[in-house]
Amino acid sequence: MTQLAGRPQAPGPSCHADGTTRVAPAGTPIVALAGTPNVGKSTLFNALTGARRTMGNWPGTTVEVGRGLWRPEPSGTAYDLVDLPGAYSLDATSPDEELTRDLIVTPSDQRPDIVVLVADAAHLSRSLYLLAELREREQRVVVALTMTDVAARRGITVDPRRLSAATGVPVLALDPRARTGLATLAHAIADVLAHPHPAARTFGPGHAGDSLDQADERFAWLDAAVDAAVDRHAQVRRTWSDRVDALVMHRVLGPVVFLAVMWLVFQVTTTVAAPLQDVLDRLFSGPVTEVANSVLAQAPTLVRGLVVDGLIAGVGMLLTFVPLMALMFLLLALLEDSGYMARAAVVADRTMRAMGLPGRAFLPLIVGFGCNVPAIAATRVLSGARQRVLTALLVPFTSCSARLTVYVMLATTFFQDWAGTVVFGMYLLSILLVIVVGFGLRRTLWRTMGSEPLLLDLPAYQRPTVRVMSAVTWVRLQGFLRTAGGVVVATVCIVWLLQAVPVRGGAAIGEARIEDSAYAAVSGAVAPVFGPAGFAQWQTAGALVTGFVAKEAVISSWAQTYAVSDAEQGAGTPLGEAIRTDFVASSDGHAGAAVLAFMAFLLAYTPCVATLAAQRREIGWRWALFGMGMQLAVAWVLAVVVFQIGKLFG
Amino acid sequence: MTSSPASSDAGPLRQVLGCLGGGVRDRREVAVRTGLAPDVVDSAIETLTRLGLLTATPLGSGCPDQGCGSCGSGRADATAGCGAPGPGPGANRGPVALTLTSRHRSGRAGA
Repeated sequence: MTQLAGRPQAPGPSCHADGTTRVAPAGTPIVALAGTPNVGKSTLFNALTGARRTMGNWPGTTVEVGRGLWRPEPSGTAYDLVDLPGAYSLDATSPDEELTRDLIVTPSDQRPDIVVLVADAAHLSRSLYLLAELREREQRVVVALTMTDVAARRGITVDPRRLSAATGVPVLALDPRARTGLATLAHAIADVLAHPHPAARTFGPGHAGDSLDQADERFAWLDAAVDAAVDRHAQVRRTWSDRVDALVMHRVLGPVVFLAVMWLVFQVTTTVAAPLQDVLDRLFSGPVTEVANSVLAQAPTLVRGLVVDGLIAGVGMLLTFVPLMALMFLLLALLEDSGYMARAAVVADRTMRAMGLPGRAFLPLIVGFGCNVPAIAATRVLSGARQRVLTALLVPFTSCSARLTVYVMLATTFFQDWAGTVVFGMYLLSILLVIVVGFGLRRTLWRTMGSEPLLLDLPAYQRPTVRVMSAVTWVRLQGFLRTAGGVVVATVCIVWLLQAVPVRGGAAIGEARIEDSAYAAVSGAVAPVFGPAGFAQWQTAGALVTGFVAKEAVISSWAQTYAVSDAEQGAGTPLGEAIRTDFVASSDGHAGAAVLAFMAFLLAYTPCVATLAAQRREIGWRWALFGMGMQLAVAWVLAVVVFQIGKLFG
Repeated sequence: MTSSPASSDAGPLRQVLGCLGGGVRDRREVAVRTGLAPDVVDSAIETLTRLGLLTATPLGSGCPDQGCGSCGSGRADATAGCGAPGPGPGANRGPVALTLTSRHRSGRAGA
C-alpha cells in the first residue's frame, strides 16, 4: 500500500492510481461516502473536494474508488474523502457492494473513521436499510439527506430532527448541486468524531434467526423511522402516467380501450396498405409475369409453369402483403415501445385469471398473436407441467400474423369497406376461442391445476423511438420474408408438381388439365367434409391442406391454382374474382356466410407444421396430436355454425 | 403514514410476502393491504428479491435470457429462427413478473 506524506499531490479528475492511495497525511480522518446508487454521492464528493479526485481500482478488484482531499475551511481539519461504490446493503450481491462492505466492516488502516450515509429523501426507506445495518456496528455515522426538492415535489417532507431521534444518528439536509449544507455536514462530522463510537443497535427478541428474520427486523426499524420523520401531504398530485393507467388498466374500460386500439390498428393497416398492395399486385401480374413469359418462351411448359404459375403467381401474391405486414408490425412495435402493450398484457392477465387459467399464461397467448412458434416456447415461463400443456394447447387459437394475410385478402374481396372491421372481428373470435376452449379444458381435464401467485411490474411509459420501432419491424418482416422465401417456395414447388401430375384423363405430365391432377384429386377427396360449412370446392380444400404447412401457403396455393386455370382457359381473372365465383357456387349464393365460415376454420385449425413441431418439443407427441385433433374438431364445428347462422342473415 | 397493521406480529417483509402469497398482483394493492408506504413496499420487494425469496422474470417475450443460441428454435448463428424479435431492441418493454421462489413456498420462510 502506498502512503503519501506531506501535502496531497492532488491529481486531476482523471488521474488514475491505486485505489488505496491516500491523498492526505497519515492520521487524517477517513470519511467514506456510502449509499445506494444514484443518490448523489459523487455529486457530493465533487462539491466537497472541488472535483479533485484520484480514481483507481481497489487492489484485487475491478471496482473503481474515488478518493480526494476535503478541507472544509482553509485552516480547518482536512479529511481523506472516499467515494464508496453504490450499495443497497452490506449483504453484498455484487463486486461493488462487496468492496463497500469490506471497507466498512473489515478492520484495517483503510477503514473509515466515519461513514456519511447519503440518503435520497424521495426514497428514504430504500436508503435506510444500509443505515439499519450500519447501526448494528460500532460505527460512527452521519446521514446526509439529498434530493429534498424532488421529495417536496412529490408531496414528501422529511424532518431531519425527527429522523435523527428515530435512528440515533445526526441527520442533516444538503444540496450538493447548490453547495448548501456542506458546512453543516463538516460540523456534524467533527462533532461525531469528537465522541466515542456509538453503541451498536441490537436485534429485538425473536429476530436473531435466519436472514429473513433479521431483514424483517431491520425493515420494522426503518419503517418506524420513516413513519416518525416523514410527512406526506394528503393531496399528492397524480402523474399523467397514473391518469393514463387508471383508464387503460381499468377493470371494465381497460378491455374496451384495448379492443378500440386493436380495431384502429387493423383499420389503419387495411386502408393505408391497400393501395400499396394493389401496386405490387399489378407489378407481379403485369410486367414481372410478362418478362418471365418472354424470357421463358422457349423453355419447356413444365419449367414455365413452375416459374410463372408457381413462383411468380404464388410467392408474388404473398409478397404483395409486405407493405401490409410492415405497417402492422410498425404499429404493434409503437404500442410495445410506448409501454402500452405491457398494460394490455395485464388486462389480458385478469381475463386469464377470471377463467381460472394460470396467471402467466397471458404471456404466451399475447406472443401468439405475432407468431405461434415462439409463443409455444414461451410456455416455459410457466412453472407447472400441467399449466404448460394447457397453455401450449391454447396458443394455436391465437390468430398469428400469417393468418392475417388470408383475412385481409378475403375481407377486402368480399366486404370492401368493412374489411378492417371483419379482420378485427377475427381477432375477437380468436380471443373468444381461447377463453371458451380454455374454460372447457379447465373444467374437464385440468380441474386440479393450482395457481401461482405473482406480482406484475410495468415499464414506464416512454416516447417510442424510431430506432427501436424500425429494428423490431424489420426483424419481424424478415421472418415473414424468410417464410415466403423458404417454406412457401418449397410448398409452391410441391403443389406445382402435384398439379402437373395427372391421375385421370391419360395426359402426359405437365399436359393435364388441373382438374385431372393429383392435387385436384386429393383436394376433391377432402372437399365434401366442408359441405355443411359452405366451401366444399376442391380449390379451397386444397388451399386449406397446404395451409397445414404455413398459413401463407393458402394464398400462394390459391394464386397458383387459379393462375394455372386461367392459363388453360386463356382468361385473366383477378384472384379475388375467381375465389368469389367458387364461394358463390359452393354456398348456394351465401358467399358471405361461407367466407366467414372459411375464415373461422382457418383461424381455428392447426396453424403450421412449425407450431406442431414446437408443441411436440415442449409437451410431447401425445399432447401435440391431441391438440391437432381438438383444433380440427373445433374448427369444423365453428365453421359449420358460422355458415348455418350466416345463411339465416342472407 | 407507514404503520403496519397493529394486529399483525409480522414485520414489513413478511407482510409483503403474505400479500404476494395471497394473490395480490400489484405494488399499490400491497401498500393498501399492509398499510406500508409505497416506498417501503418497493424497498421490501427489492430486499426480498436480493434474499432470493422473489424471482423477477422479464415477460417481454418468451425468449431465453441467454439469447437465441440457447433456444430450441434458434438458428446455428444464434439468430431467431421463429419470427420473434428475440432478446434485443424493445425486448425489455414487457411486464416483469415477481414470483415467490420455491424456497419461500416450501415454508422455510413462510409468512
